[in-house]
Amino acid sequence: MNHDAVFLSPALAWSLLAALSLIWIALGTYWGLKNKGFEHHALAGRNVGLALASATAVATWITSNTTMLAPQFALQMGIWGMLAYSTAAFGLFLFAPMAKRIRALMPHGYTSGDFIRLRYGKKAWGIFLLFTLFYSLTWLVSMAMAGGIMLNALSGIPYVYGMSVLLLVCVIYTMRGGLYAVIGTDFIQSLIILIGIVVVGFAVLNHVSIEAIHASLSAHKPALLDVMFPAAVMVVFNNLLFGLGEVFHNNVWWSRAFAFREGVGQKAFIIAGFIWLPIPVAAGFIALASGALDIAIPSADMVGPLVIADVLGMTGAIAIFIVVFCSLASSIDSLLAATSDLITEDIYRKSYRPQANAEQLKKAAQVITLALGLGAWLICLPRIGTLATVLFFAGPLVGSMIWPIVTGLYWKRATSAGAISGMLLGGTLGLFAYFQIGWYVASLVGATVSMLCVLFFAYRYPGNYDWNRLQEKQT
Amino acid sequence: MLLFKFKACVQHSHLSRLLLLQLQLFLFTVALFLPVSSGCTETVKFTNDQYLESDAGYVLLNWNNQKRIPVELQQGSKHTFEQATTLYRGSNSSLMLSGLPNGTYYYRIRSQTGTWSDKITLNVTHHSLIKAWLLFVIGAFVFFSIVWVIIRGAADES
Repeated sequence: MNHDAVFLSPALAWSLLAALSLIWIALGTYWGLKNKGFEHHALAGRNVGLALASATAVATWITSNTTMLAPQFALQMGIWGMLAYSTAAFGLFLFAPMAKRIRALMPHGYTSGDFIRLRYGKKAWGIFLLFTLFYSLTWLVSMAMAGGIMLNALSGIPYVYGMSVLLLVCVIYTMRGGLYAVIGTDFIQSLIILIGIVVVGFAVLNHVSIEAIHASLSAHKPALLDVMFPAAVMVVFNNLLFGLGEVFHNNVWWSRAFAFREGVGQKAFIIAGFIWLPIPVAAGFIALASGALDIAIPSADMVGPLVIADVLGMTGAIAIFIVVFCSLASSIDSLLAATSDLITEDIYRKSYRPQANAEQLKKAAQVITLALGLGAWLICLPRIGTLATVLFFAGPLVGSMIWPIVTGLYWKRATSAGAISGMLLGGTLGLFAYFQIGWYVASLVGATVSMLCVLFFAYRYPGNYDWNRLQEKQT
Repeated sequence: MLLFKFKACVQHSHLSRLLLLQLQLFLFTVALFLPVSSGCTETVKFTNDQYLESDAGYVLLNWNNQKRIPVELQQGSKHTFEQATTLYRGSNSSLMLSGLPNGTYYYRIRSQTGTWSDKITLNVTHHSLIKAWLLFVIGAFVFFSIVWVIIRGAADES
């Protein structure tokens, strides 16, 4: 990240930050009044309707990565990179039938950890918890850090203040309102983000023609238009599989599958996929226009804000500030809620307090949310700029969890041995590929190796799982 | 102008003449050093390694520019910078380059009135297309297998 770019005066930025913070905290507190126990806090009473369900899926999947990394992908990998990023929508499309299945198989389930424990046993569950907590925590920390850095670059607000306010606001309203607050704020945030991106897309198109963009790219960055751009060719399915792994395994998505009203999940995820699909294309297009607009890019992740501020001036700077804040908050709150539920259900209740009542579990979830926020804040304080790359380490780990999850949901013959070897070997060889070839093949290798392990055990030593074992009732 | 007025006031005395001479010498010396202290010959250097490799056609060039003085960055296809092109003029401290085809590129930078820095050499060698498409096909196979498992499973379920 480069700090040459400052678009807003700190005074204006602080006012925007204060207004947005107050709105989210007030709404979170209001929605929190509905919370009567852990089930309400963690799963919003398992009664979320279609509109809120679709909006929360879209908002959660529009992370800071969508608004910042999608343009970076386009700038570095060209047309292929832009399309590769948009393939992450397939995570939502394919999770749609899975959400229906999850809801049918586990009507009383709470977390993705519940599924792995009941389906594959405690060893697989341990490995899964390790992988998913590593992924969730690095995602949380990298977003809080990106938030501090981005607010600093956009407005000059000191990094520590920006990062702290962002985390504090999300922790407060998630603690108070649980999943009700997360879903409610996600609805508003998704509307703001969508309107912002549509306005920006049209504004860029009004400033520069497609022909001018093409001519500029052909002259100065020809590889970005090359259909035979090797690294970009590799990145397509790697990114697709990374996206599938993220959605299929993470409790952020499973908690929504449990929380959506019966019959809503499948439709909600399909609608969300269609709404999300064009966003990386629009964001990537903005990046490709930077050359034609003669904008020098000091670092890849600043391409979006720079182009938008150049095209829309002060209005654009305010819009990008709000969009960035909303996209960060909508993902940080979901991660805080889903990860605290995972720890509350899978570790606190299952390992320490099986007899804890609904109120005690809710309190535990709130304390864990606070602890996660504090932990993330402490890690973010030193501003280790390279920590975002740690998130890419998680690529092979999440890739290696795709096959155990999918076959575990649909195949009776899928076994624990396949799941354990798939996660361990897939994760290890994926990391090896990460260092030997590059980040753009790590998830692909992890998923491929995991698939071979799962298939080998499923056909060589098939199991015969009884689906009724998934219908565990909580005491 | 001020100096001449001051001369007129003090030209009557010997002592004053000596003082005047000293003052002229002082002002001359100050004038001599003024351009240096105003930063016109500020040197700018890259903070990247001297030799860079890229297998994806992109690189981030960084240079020291805490005072945010105007700089000029050039790219050449020859180490002598014949027919070099200016990529950037401004006061940033980095530039993202991408979409570069295979080849060797040379970069140098200077403050707009200073001397050119040592050059940086960037070698772009993209991955082989065979490796890229092989991974593409494997990825497609893994992806469509996942789709098949889910669609088949969902059909059986209903």
